[in-house]
Amino acid sequence: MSQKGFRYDMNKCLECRACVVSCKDKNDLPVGVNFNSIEERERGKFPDVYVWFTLKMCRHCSKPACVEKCPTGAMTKDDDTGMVYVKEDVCIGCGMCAKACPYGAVQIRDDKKKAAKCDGCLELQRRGELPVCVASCTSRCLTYVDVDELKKEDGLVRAVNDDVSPNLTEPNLYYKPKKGMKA
Amino acid sequence: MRACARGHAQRQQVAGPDRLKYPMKRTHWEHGGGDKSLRGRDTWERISWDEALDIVASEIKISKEKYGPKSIFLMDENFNNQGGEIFRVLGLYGGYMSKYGSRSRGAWRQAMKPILGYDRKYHNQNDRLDLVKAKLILLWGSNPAWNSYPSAMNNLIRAKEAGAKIIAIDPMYTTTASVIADEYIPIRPATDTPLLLAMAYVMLKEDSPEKPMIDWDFLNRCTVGFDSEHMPEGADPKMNFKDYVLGNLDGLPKTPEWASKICGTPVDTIYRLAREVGLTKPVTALFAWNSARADKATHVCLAQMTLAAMTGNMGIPGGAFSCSCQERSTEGGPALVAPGSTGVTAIKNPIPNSERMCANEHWRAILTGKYTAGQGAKKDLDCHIIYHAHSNIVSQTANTMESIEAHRKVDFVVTHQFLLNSCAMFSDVVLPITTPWERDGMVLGGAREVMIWTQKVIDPLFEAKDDGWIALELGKRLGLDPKEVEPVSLKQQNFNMLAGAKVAKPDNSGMETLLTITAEDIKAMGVEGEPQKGRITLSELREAGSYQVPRKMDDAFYYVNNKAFREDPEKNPLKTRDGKLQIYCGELAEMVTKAGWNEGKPIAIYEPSVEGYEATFSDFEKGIKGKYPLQVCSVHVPRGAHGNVSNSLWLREAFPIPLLMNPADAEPRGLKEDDTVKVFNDHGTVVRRLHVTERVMPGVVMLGEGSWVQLNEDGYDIGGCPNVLTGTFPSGPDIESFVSIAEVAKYDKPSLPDALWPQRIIF
Ligand code: SF4
Ligand code: SF4
Ligand code: SF4
Repeated sequence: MSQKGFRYDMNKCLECRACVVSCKDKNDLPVGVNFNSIEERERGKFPDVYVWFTLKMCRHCSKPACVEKCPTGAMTKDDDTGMVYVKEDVCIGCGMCAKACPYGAVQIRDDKKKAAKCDGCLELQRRGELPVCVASCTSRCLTYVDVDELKKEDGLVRAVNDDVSPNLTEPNLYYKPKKGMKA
Repeated sequence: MRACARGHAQRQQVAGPDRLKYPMKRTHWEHGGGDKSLRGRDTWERISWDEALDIVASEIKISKEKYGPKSIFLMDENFNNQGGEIFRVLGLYGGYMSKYGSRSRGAWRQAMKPILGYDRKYHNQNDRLDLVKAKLILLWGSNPAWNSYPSAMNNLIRAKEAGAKIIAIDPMYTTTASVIADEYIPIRPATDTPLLLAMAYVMLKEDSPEKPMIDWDFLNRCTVGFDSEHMPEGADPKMNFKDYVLGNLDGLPKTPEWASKICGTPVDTIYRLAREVGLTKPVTALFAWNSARADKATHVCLAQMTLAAMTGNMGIPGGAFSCSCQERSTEGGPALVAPGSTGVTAIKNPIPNSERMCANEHWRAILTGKYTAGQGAKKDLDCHIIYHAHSNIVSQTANTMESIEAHRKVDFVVTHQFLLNSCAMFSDVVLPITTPWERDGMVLGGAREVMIWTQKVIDPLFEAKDDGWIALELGKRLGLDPKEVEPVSLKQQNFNMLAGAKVAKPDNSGMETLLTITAEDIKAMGVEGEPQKGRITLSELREAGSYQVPRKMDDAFYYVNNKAFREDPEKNPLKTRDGKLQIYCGELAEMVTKAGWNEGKPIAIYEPSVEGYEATFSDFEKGIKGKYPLQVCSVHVPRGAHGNVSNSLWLREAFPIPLLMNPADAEPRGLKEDDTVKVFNDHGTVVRRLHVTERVMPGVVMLGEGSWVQLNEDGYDIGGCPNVLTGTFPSGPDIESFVSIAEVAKYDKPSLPDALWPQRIIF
């Protein structure tokens, strides 16, 4: 199995949310269902403020808790890319995955009573295209690469803000922390 | 080139459930207006196209015959680039009342002509690739990360990587600042002139041969009005900039201490900034238009040009003081690629330009029946029809509440729209039009290096029609010649623009034809034309969607503005009164005075806005706050392009537009994060959720613009339209002021997040 990952440079993110809205468009998501989001945080006092933005999405973990806890086998890890996705026809909407994921990356959709999450735009990838959020990132701070490359790069981390230890699920979203940010 | 979030939300604009599907009429409208107070809250009835067009044509006819053509106020914002179709119809039918004035560009548009000799968006900017040569870049009220990303941001990031220091000056610690600025300097809204004057004061006081800050050579050779020695002919030598700044004119030196009290920038910061700008060479200062979108803001234009001249940052690599906005954000220089003409000659409005009213008071003019027509002159206005072909000016112009009143006064309001935006909402008849996705494409220029050709994506939805078709149908009913109404079809106009498109030759020795067009292309497009040879084929352009001129550092297109002028001002004069840069600008002062609202001043002085910072006090000198102690600053946010795509639920969810307030203002008012609050003043009240943040300057609240006004049962706007809070404070030459003050308090009615509002679905 090969594993792909996302690299997100927090120094360059503009909180423009092209990644967020293009994902909603591609997946036709109603208000309230989001596969990714940009969180804004600040510290300090005016005018000495420090602001940083954080992309949140499924980490497509190497040890995905969601897959482990899924009783039906609906939550699946793709062999070719390592992307974790839901087989909707098998999903019973029990919510075990959502409970298990330490990143809040799974929602149970009210309308469908099924688990819903980022699938890494797998069908696009299978056609040789990039995930939509990556292809639409206006500052090109979000990229999609082989995880082996990311492992080699200095200065990347897999936990920022109040993320759990990466040892838990071995996430594959690598952050380049913003300069001056307390990682 | 990548699309922004708004681009990705287009589908919700084109094909959402709130798309206007059929022509419709306000239930209680009847000839004469019916119950006019119901505008904006009446129900709608579906009508046929025939009925709709008959009503519009007959209302136009009656109004013209009874009250004359000036009784029809036409706003046609030309969204199609080739639009303006209703200008033609009404122009051919006897005329219409139109407006003049610079909405977006504030004082810049008119003022830069007499000061610097030109009126253009890129103002005084150098080439975008020149930014890397700047040692210091000031972003003055400029936040491209929110309003002109990503190319402007990429240009700035490159400059930063090349070693430029970037300082952001703004009432808010902006996203742009957080991504690229080395330093952030606070300033209160509409107090740019005091800060600029104080910087000039420090430079005048501290300039010395050992530490030269002032470029005397440039001032002496290229400008007039800086000191009594260099005055233009006929001017009073006492009225020079230097003496004003030093206090010799009015006994008030424009010290950092003086300025700080007004603009809120700490005194030591002003000294530091002035020294840094004075001692660093070269400096590029990029101003957003916002700084001069305040009453009497011609002084901002004068002051920033004066500072540019003092520091010699003009006509040199890396040195420029300029506006930087829209498609020309960070990008100066003549266009390297541009579409040809549409082949359509505009129809002249039979009502002469001298009869037009200014956008800075048009709502009041409709309400009072009088408008300003020059110094001491008022003209009568008897407006019976408001015609909106593409506009959203109920929300997007100053004093929305007055605008609503004006809409509720006239006999008839008609709007062309594809969504129930603010103008459509306050109309009697709404004509559903196609979106760009359903039209025969558009050819867009404007940016220096890019030309765009959009394609038709889908057939018109429901009963939507092109504006051109509406124009023809109205023309038929008004007895106009269709050949004059639409002399060239939209398709043919596009073709003409493509065929006439020019691109700069690689050595920049002139322009050449951009497109190769074959006989087959012409046949396939169904247009008339001749085959031609150019740089790329039509299908290449169609495939790519745009053409971008390739660039590299120091190529032939590298551009430094006013280089020749700087080198030899006698041989290469500016198009100003005496060919020099006008620090004393008599022509501007005359323009302002002649316009009829206020007395113009020839040099940059500080004149506070009517509802500026000083107005937040009942006694400014004693520091006693008044009943509206907060300044309101409306800002462009990534949710919409003004009111466009404002309906998209995805965008509303991604960008909620709360009221931004500093904890120092929230705490004493007992306000917390996510409280529902009302922002109010004498003009109106806006209801918003609150975001308490250290990013905003204490004493200032910020509100994103673009939301459609939506009045609730208390008469409050729950839509979040900042112009509900702006008043009518016209000033010359044609400035519309967006400056306002307010108080904020808790509102006890619950409010839903914008993304959960019911959509404006009619049928
Ligand atoms: S982030 Fe959560 S949902 Fe995604 S793979 Fe890891 S455990 Fe599963
Ligand atoms: S990979 Fe695809 S599904 Fe996942 S967040 Fe990006 S766009 Fe959305
Ligand atoms: S598209 Fe890129 S720059 Fe924009 S918010 Fe997303 S990650 Fe940040």
